[in-house]
Amino acid sequence: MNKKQFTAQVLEAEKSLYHIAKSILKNDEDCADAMQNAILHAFEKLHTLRNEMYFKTWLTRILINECNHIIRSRKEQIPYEDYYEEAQTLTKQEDYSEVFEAVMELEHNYRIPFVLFYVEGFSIKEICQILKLSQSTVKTRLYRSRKLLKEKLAGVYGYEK
Amino acid sequence: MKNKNWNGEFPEVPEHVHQTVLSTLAGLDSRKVKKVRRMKKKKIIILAAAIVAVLGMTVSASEIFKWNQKAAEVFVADEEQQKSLVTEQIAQEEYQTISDSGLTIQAIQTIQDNNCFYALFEVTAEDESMQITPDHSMKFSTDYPDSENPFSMLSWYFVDENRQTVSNSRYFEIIGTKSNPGNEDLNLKIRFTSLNASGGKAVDAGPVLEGSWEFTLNLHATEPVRYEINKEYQIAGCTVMVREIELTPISVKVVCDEEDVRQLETLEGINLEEADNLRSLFVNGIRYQDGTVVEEMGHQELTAGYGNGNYTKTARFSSVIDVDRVSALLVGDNMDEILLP
Repeated sequence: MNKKQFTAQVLEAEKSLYHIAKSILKNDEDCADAMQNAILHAFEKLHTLRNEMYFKTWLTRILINECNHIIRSRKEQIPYEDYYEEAQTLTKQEDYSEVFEAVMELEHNYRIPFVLFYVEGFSIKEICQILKLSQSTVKTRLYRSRKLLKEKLAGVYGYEK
Repeated sequence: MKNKNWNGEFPEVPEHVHQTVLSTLAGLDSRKVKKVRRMKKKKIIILAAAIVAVLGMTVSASEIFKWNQKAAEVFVADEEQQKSLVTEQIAQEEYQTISDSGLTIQAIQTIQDNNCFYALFEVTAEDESMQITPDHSMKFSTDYPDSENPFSMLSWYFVDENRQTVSNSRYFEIIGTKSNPGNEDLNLKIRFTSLNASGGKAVDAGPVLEGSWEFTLNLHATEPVRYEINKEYQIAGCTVMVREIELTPISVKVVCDEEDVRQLETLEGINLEEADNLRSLFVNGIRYQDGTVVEEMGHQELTAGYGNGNYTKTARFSSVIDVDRVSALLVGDNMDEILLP
């Protein structure tokens, strides 16, 4: 894969990368940092990608690592609760849909598999590779996230419980 | 649950995040780029590497965004504008070099939008005693694997002696006018097949060197800034309904009412059906919001003609403009103003 193909594939995946970063970090500035770091890291390690078919899965894995790294570095600077609260405040300043906000209120462990599966269309197998979890764990988390969301969204946009 | 459009509930990528992605991609260290393609023949060597890497230099961010000097001269772009157009993917550095039959061709730069296209190559003969002059030419064919041919006209030539002294190496330019730009990115294949000598008086004396040099250029679709004007302006003493204007940093499109433009045609005593030029609608300058006027150095019309009750013309700017700051187009010899909303 050359630089142009890399660029094209990153741009194709840009929206998806943003959604995933947003679901972990919430704050847009942090999302931009994570996406930037992931792109640089991926380009540097491009020779390690064995099959270009799996580029998006591979890049998503790198992005999630970068997001986790940002959270860890923030935790060293400020308590995670404070960071989370700050991010929440920033989120509320924007005009987001109730559905999006409901998804963002899910616990981290449920939110990420949910976003990968329902929002970005990754398969269970791909999510297992990205999150390094077993199939049963991913399925359980999806089941719970579905259940929680149904409760949260009851009544929103005529959403059926 | 799977049937719900969850993706539509999530926010779009904010502009500043998108810009960060574009800047990051534009600044990728090209020294790590792998080969573009496999070698097709033993003789053909394809290298995908930045010029700076070939020169063994360490590059700064500003150098990555910097265009080839020849391309910057053609479009009269300062460093900020060069960076901006790289970020917007209007200008792209190409990193493809192919050698065959003692001739190396390097794709250096493309600059293009929805109206025009420019590609810069450098052609170098291995035999240093060989001189490539402006009278030489390259024979090539083009192919558009995934889309229609967007060009109504292509012209090409080696740069003249005012721009480059004669040696075994010479810049070669391809300039295109688009009439069918499309909304998708364009894959353009350019396959050179020979370097030809000139027989004088534009007669081709046939090939000096034959071979195969095939380049694939991925050209990004540019979204112009579009203004619905629908307002009458006094142009060369006539009332002309201006319907629409489109701007990019390198070109402009103006759409006016056909009947009104026919008046201008009569006034100037010309016939557009016979490819005459309508001077009163030449975009001879732009005015920025702060009042600064930038005059065009010679009008570079791309297309002009009637259709659907309108007269539509496109032209290339002689220097890169800042689209966001333009407040008016200045047309004709009198620099009549067409204000932008």
